[in-house]
Amino acid sequence: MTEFKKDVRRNYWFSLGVFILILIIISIMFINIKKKSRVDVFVRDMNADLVFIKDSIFQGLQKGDYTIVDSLLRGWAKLHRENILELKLIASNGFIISQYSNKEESTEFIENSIDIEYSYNKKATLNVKYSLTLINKEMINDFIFVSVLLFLVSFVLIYITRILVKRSNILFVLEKQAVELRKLSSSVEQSPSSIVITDLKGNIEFVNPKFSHVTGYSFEESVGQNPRILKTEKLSQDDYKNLWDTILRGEIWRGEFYNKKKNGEFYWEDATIGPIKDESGSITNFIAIKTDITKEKKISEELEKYQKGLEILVKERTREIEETAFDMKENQQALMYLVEDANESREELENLNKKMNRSLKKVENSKDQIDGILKSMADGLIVTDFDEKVILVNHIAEEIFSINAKDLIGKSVDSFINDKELLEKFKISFADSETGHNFDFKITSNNVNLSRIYNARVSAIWDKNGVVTGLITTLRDVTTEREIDRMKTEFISTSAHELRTPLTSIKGFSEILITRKDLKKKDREKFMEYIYKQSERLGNLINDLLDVSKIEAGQGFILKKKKCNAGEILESALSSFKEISKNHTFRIEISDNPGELYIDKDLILQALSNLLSNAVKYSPEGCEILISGDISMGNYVISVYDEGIGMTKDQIDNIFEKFYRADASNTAIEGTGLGMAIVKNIVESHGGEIRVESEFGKWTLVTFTIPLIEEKGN
Amino acid sequence: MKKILIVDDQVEIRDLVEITLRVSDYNIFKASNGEEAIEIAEKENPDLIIMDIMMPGKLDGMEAARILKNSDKTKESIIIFLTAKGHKIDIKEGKDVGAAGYFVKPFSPLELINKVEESLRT
Repeated sequence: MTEFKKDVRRNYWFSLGVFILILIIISIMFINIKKKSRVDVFVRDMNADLVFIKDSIFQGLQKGDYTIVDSLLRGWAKLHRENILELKLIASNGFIISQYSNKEESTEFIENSIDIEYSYNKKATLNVKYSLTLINKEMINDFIFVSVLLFLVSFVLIYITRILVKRSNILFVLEKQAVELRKLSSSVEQSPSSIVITDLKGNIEFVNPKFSHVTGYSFEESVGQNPRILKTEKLSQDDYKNLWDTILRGEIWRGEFYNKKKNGEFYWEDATIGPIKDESGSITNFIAIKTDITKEKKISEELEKYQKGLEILVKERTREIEETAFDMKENQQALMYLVEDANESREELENLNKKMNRSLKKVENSKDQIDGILKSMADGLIVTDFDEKVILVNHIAEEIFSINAKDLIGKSVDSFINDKELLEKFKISFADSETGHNFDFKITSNNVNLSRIYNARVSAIWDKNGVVTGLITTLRDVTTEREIDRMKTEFISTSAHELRTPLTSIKGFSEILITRKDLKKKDREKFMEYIYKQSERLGNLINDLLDVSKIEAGQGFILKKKKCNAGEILESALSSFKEISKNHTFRIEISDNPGELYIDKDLILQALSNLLSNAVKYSPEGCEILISGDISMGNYVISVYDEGIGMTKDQIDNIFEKFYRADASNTAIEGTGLGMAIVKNIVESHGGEIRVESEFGKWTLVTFTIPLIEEKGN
Repeated sequence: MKKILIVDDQVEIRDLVEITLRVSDYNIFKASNGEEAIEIAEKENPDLIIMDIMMPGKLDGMEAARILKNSDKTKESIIIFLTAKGHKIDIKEGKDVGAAGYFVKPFSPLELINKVEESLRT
């Protein structure tokens, strides 16, 4: 036994290694037991504190001490006192092991599993349950048995070893060395530095993973190689000699290598190389511990570069500052000259100011003048700026829109044009102002006769540079013009119809006369008479049109005056009319006073004929038409009266307008709408007057006067 | 004997059309406005109506034609317009009403009789 003890002491490391080995085997067994023993932990709450408890519970379980579990849980429960209502350790058979609550209970316990149950209070109460299945007690017994067995085996093994050592001491020493190396290697495996172990010749026996990582040479590739594979020209031959001399002397060398990786990349290494000695002190191996310092090298190189750059910059700035100081001195001088100049300029400016004030006054005066002109224009005027805000509204425009200019200045046209459609028209023409857009609009009134039509024309105001600065809108009353336009259009369609009717008869009957040879003589004569009458009617129509165009042109009639008797004229007009209109009765009333007139007989007959024709056209068949003549206040007064459809006041007001027809919709009643205009013109050209009176649906009376010849002693 | 109704407010035109049609034996009726035309048409059921458009009274020729064409009693009557209204839009309206022909004044009696005979044959 003393020999054995001695051996064990001698081979301390060896025996410790065996012991650790056995411990590892026991641990593996324990882990296996643990796996078999199915320890489940259900954590339903992911609270970090509970994780801590879980680990602690294992510790407790490993020790087989449930009081640790209990106390840890209690400790945790106290920490969360506010939220924990109740905490229980419950065995799987339902037995309560311990309880954290107001009243505490302790129980005897020997069971295979426990539950931990606690109530967690956060407004609502949560129940979280932990279920742990503990190691079977028999298993632990088995475990202890196996452990003891293993320990015995280990001792037996050590004993056997001792015998082996005794038999071959050299073998024992070698084994001891192998163990040492293995241990060392395990520590160098993890090293953050590259570690290389060579034999005395420098051939690599071992490299750690870091070495492979740095250089790219794997363990297999490195072993047997010389570290020369990494060599570059950076380190001189002398440096290498120095290295070898140092380490062969058994001392440690320290220095930097500039090496090459397997992929050709270069890197800096800080290396410590030293010998490994055996017990006798003789060198067995060399070990190199190396750190990659490429990054640090680069950083220091760059720093040096920056430092140099900075020095240059500082020199440059210093020079610039010196130059600027010199410039500033010069500028000061220049400023002084400028101040002198400015004093002179001020006087000039004052003079200019005076001149400008004078000009401004002139401008104001002319502005007033222009304002005055614009305001007194006959047309309505609205001036707006480029934002369509009102700048000026003249009196007429005020009246048109029933507005007050003062309230509108600076406001948009929206503020006084209520009619959406009209506003839209304004907006469109504002947008189109450059082309001088214009449009008609109507301002309606309750009284139809007071409704007016205006033509708005928008044009742009240009400044000197050709930029539009505003808009001028002129509003012209075109009611009369538009009415005349309308009448003209109506006249054209009416006269076309009027001209067509006689033409139809003329064309039709003449065609029949030409093509039909079998017509009776009586029919032939009748047709020819039709043709004659209709051509006469055509002629009259054309005369009317000519008369009107003369009136239009302002030429009027050229009178061929002769002395005439008024009575004779009336008789003559009536007799020719009786022939034409056989469906009406005519009556004539002439005073005994002979009216001597100095007139153009044909024209007066034309006027009378027009009046009679109207009376016939606008009164039903069978009615009586009265024509009368009398002298009154130096005039001969002629009147035509019928009991026909009559006229409204509106119609009477328009009766003398050219192209006006009392009932334009009734196109069947022939007429050009020129008759009364012609009559009025004829009467007025003779110095007379004409008047129309009527009652709608009942009667119409047209009266005109012709001045009598002044009797000069005749 | 075929019946023909002539509608025109002017006596000369009525006469002219009547004389134009005298080449064949027709039973001819005459009306001077729309209302009268409808009255006669309903009573006599004419084979053909020659209709003016612009006539005095409540119904013009176009309206009268429309009424006649919409009435079961008179819709078979052929209508030919004879009018001073010569715009394309008027002619289109006439065709739309269902007229077989449209003559603008002044018209040719020969052409009218040809159209009348042709219409009555089919």
